[in-house]
Amino acid sequence: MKKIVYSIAFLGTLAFGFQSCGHKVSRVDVNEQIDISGKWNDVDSRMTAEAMVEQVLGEVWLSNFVKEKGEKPVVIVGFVKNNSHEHIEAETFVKDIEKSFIKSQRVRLVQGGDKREELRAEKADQQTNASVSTMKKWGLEVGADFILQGSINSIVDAYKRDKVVYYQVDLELTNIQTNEIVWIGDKKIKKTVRN
Amino acid sequence: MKNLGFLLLSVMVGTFAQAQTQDPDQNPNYAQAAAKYDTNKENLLVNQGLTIQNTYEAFDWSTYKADKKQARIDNRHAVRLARANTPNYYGRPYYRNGRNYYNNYGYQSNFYAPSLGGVLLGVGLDHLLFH
Repeated sequence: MKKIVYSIAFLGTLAFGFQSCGHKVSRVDVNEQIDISGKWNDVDSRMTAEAMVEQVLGEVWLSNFVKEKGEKPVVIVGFVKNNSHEHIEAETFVKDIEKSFIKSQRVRLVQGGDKREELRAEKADQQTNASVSTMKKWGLEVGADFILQGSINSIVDAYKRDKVVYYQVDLELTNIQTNEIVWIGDKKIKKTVRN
Repeated sequence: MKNLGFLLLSVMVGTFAQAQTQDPDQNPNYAQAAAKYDTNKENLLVNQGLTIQNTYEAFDWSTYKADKKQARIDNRHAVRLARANTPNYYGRPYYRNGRNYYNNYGYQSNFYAPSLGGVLLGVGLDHLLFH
């Protein structure tokens, strides 16, 4: 009888042990570097954002514009083309750049794409639903001076289990009036991966 | 009809041109470009603020190995299936516990009815190989 009780207890402990081993979740610091597969990850995105923010706010295009026009430049974000071998969402680092524009108070940012469409739809809705004193008018949006566009490219060199991956992220600011490129920033990342 | 279209386009371009103040250095034909992009701007701005995914497939050793393994498994399965459905193809069909392993109904499929020659060859091979 005692033997059976011990056996059941042992099996129960074993089952509980296996169950707790199967699935484990823990919170880690967002700045911690964790590389699992060797693919593009949050660390690469953060490194790109930091480099781009430093470059875009520290170069002469900004002071030149302020000197010439006497006001802060207005920027709109265009598209980023991912020509690499991996699925990469540029929004993760482009958002950090946009945030730096607003935080620094040296560059003005205007909304584009889907969000702008939503804003205009809201404005259209206000024309029939909002009170006259609070209704927003058409045709008073701020026109952008510059557009931010970019591309992501990669080169992969692989032999058996070893792989070298090179990413190059390029962002550029172009004057919408003149098509003149006033700033190009880049971030290059090289990784070695052993499978 | 053609004149009406031209008139509408002229009004549109005229309205657009009025909205802008003329610059002394501005190209006198600017209204043509304005009309061209004004009709197509929604399509051109559809990707604004987004990432256009134009990825390519790079060589990856582990994926290559996994694909090769899967192809081997699929091929082996196809050969076994063919062997099970044609009893006189290589010899006996693959039986397990007295039932044809690759037949859903537990009976040997007679869909591929063997010919007389096939039967004789099968019997002969069966005798040679298994007796």
